[in-house]
Amino acid sequence: MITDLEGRGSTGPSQRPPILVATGVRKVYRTGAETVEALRGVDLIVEAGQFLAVMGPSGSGKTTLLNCLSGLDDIDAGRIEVDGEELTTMSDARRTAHRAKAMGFIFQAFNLIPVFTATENVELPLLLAGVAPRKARQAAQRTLIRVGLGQRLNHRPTELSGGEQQRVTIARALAGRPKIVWADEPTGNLDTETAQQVMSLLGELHRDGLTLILVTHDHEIGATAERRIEVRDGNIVADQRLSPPATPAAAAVPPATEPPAPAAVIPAP
Amino acid sequence: MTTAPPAPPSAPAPPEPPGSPPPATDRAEPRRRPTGPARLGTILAAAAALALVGVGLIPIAVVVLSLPFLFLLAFRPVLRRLAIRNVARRPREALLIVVGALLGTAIITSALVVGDTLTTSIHQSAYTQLGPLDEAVLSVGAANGQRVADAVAAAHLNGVDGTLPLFAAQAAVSAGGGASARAEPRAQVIETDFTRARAFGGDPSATGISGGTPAGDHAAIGTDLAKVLGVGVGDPVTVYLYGATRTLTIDRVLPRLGVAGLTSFTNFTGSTSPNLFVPPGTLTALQNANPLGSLTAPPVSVLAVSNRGNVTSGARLTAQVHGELVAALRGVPALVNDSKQNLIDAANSIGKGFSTLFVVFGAFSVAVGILLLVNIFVMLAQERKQSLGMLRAVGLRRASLVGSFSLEGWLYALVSALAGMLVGIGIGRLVIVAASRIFSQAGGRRVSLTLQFSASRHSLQNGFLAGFVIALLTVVLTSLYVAFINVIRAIRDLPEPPHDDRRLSVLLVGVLLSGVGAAFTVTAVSGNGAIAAIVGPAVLGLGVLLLLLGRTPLRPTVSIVASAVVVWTIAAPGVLAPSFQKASLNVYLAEGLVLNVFAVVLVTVNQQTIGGFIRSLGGGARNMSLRLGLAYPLARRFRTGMLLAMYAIVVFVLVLLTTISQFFSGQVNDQIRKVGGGAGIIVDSNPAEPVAPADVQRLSGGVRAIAPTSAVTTQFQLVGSTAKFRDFSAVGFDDQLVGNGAPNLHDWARHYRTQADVYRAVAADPTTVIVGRDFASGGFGPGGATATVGSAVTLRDAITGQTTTLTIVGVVDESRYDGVDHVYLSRTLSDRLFGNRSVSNLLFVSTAPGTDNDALAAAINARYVASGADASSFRRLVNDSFAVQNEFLTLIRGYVALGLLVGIAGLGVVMVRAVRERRREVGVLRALGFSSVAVRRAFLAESSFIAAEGIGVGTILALITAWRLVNSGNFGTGTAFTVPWLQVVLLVAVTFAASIVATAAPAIQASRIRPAVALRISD
Repeated sequence: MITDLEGRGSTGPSQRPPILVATGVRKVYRTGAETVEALRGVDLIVEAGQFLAVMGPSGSGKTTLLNCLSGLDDIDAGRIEVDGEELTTMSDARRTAHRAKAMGFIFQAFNLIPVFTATENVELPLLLAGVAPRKARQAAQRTLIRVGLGQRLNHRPTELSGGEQQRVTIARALAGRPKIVWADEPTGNLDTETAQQVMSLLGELHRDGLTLILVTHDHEIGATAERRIEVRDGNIVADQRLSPPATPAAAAVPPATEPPAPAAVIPAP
Repeated sequence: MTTAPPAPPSAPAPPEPPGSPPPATDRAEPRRRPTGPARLGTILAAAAALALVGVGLIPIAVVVLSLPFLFLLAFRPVLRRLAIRNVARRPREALLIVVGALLGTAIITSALVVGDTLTTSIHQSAYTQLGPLDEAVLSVGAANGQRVADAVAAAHLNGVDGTLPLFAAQAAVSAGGGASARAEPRAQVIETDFTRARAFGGDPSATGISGGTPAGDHAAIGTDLAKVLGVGVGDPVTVYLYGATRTLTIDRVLPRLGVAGLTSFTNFTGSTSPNLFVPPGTLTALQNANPLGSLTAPPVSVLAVSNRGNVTSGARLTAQVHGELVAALRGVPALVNDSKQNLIDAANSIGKGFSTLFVVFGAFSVAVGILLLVNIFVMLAQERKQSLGMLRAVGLRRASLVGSFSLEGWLYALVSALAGMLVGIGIGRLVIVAASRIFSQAGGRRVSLTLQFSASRHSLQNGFLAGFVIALLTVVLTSLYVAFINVIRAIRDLPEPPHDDRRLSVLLVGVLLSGVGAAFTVTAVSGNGAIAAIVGPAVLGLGVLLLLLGRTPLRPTVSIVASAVVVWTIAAPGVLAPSFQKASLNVYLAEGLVLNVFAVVLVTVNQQTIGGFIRSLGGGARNMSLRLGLAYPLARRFRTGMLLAMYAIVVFVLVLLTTISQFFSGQVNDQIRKVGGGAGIIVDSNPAEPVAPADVQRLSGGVRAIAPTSAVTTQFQLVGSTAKFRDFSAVGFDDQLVGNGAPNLHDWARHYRTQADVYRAVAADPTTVIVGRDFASGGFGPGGATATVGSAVTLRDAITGQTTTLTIVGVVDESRYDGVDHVYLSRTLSDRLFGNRSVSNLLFVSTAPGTDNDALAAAINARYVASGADASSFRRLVNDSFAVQNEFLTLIRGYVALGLLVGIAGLGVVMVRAVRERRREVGVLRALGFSSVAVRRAFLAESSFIAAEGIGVGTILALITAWRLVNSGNFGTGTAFTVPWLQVVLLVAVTFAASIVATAAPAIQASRIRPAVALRISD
């Protein structure tokens, strides 16, 4: 079942075990005398293999929710369990290790390490997870080939287009075979065509069983998800199951062995 | 800069609301009435005018250099706001920039202040110790003295306002008895009329003389001698002279001032005044009772001459009075000594010499400071690239952008130069404290130069200006970097596209540099100039690199050229030895800088290989911290190269000085052999009552042989040289000196087979002479002319003025010990020139193996106090000399270590900025599972790598250079090179540890970055 704890928007009984269970999550930002309650007691359950879109207007708390649920940020109250492990009681070191083992991240600004090549960026989480260097290198290259960057293995981020950089980010998020991938506006910095390519790639990965939690303010992107929640003023105000998953671009996803059409390089002004 | 049409005069500009965004472009700024900023401009202009009117050239230069920035400050509010807010935005970093920049000014200022202090102190000693005495006319014996006095009195000289006859001899004086007996073997016993002495020069208070002329059994003692003997009023003292004794009672103690404080009458600098004023007739009575006969030196008559004016202004008439005296004394056997002017010249020369020495060594640190500034400003420009791009996009002109950036730099330069000047005064004080101790050790008990701290306005202004100009120039040139920012690339933070290395401008510069470098190189190879030999090939190498850019593979090309320059720079002083023999300190500065810069270039182009090697040592790909730590310095080659150069330059100088210092210490036995020439002890004694060789022989069974020589203070000058005559001790010797005290020769005339042949030939030939290597350079470091075999020298009797010309046939390795420079000539010549002043007062004593030379020297001193015996073992002399040398090198090392502070601070600044630059990246790493410990390790790995590499480059180059120096024979022949591993390792370890400590804070800061916070930061 895909639901929050209060059952809002539930669309039927779940067949899959939950991978994320969050209850009463509160997050307050304090700047001097001013305090802003970014999350006001959010409850959320996400099943393994689900593709969840987190939507909402700017400043509604979407990214904060993602950061808190993934353990990137501390929370002020509540409880978060990911893949059976409770994040809120973990030390920073354990939480970090848990992230390395179970999670992958895709950011709007790509956030690649500029001094590393594409391969080196992708193998990074594998090495952190303790994979042998040679195996990590092979897995990284395989993943990059899968996302269509077989010709760009040794390029540094500054030598790649925005779409290519985002695909490296996706490859990095996937290389360690995480159980859950968090994507924060992954298409925000891309043109429409490249964004579609990236989304179809994510859709394909989701169909392979990956849990994907995606933050976006783009309704078209949100419509490709299996389930959609709406965040407003730090609360989940809507939770909707979109079944079957609408993936208009899915048909256009190229086979994994073939690279997709080259993403458009950001045109020079 | 304003290209838009001006606003109508009647339309005042609306006031700018606080916090409002800057206007889109400075083109759009309407002309304003002289409101706030304009008023500021008026004030600044008035300040500039004030500086022009009353303060001097240097403040004017500062104001002129600042005018463009004052203009921007006053009339370009947008640029002013940008600059000031950028400074204020990060106060901690602003402070670090100021600290980095101020050290350059501080180093230059302190060097100048050290020079000021020495100059002023010696000037002061000239004024206090010589008082009204401007010239001294010296002659031998009372009769000649009377002739001098009569001739001068008869001439009624225009420039002279008074004369004072003195009659003086060097004697031993003792006080007390038994175990508490104290003695001064070289006291100056003086007879003079105290009434005339008080009137001498027209200012009794400047003479130091009080009371009537000592009479009967009484004497007046100078404060220096009273301290040595531990006596006061009423105490008896005994004078030993000409084999006779006279006991006198002290009836007053005179200060070291004016006539009472008269020091040596010739050129000796900073000596004490061990004076004893005795009743007239005392010296003659002692001489008449002389049981030693003609074997002793007679007293000297001195006519002290005071020029018109006071103690300071009188010296200005020296040239005139000297001429008048020489004319008046024609035919009289006397020498006119410009005592005060000579002392003042010596003061200026020593002050300038020390300033130069400290400036040159400080220049390494200044270079490091410049590199730091360049690095910081390039980083600032990179950090602000996007906002600078935005400013360009909204209409800020390129020149305005450079202006804004330069304005910020000007503020830093101004503040840092001012602060640096103040810090420089403090450093100067510290150096003086250390130098005082060294001087007191170097001169022994006969030198008492009280260093009075002095910082002239001129020096402070020069230090300020130099630091200000260096900082400003560095910042302005670096600011040009921002001028080339491409708006779109900057806004989108895209990397700069690769330059076309084959473009015409690069080619032209390459041709120009190659041509200039080749010309310098050719000049150097033809034997003209050591600087050209270092700089020429370096410039040529740079030119060749530019010519080959884009045409040949980069890494091998740069590696080959940089290696060639490094190898040549190390080898050049050996290959072109004659050019480098006369090399000044600047050559060593150029050598050090070229070596390090090209070595760093070599390392920089090969960083990937070095990094790969280190990674493989550190656990390969598994060691993520190391991998990440190396990735950044390897990717940012410019920044890393600058840091490497900073470390390499300073460590190079420190390790070189440490190695050389250690080398000196390891050469004690070799040096004893060279200086002593087979003798174990040297015995100097009062020429008026010399120690007899037979007496020494009787004193110990360990004495194997004694070579008696005469030592007379004489003046020498290289023929053709414009330098003044310098004082030397002319050692008159015969064959007995060969093998028993003849010091090792560095070079000699080719027609002599052995060193012994040279000494025998000189002993037999009164037209030849053997001098020391630094004969012509004044014994003050490298840089002076070098005496060579075959050169002619003029010898002048320091008392009679009689001259003779001699030819150098041998050059001694080391001719200076115990503060005296020696020149070796035939005893026959000495006797002929100096007559009864040439007595056997300098004995070279050879002893049997196992003899305790120090004990024997002490026994001689104790036994022959009356003769003023001053015996020392050569071991002690060499040890003392090395101790002083090492202490001085330590002082210089401490001074150079200031540059290390700049380097370490620079690394700290770069790491602080690196943490800021990479917050997002750290956030991502943390999100991906990089632990906070791993982040900290990565940053520490980065700083460790840079520090270790820089330290490594500097250390290796220093050891190679030291090896080359030792094997070049510059420090004597037959010496072996050794590395003082313990000291080098300690130096390296401390530098490395300090670097890690300095970068620990940013590393910890980086490890505490919360991923979610870091990821929220916008670019």
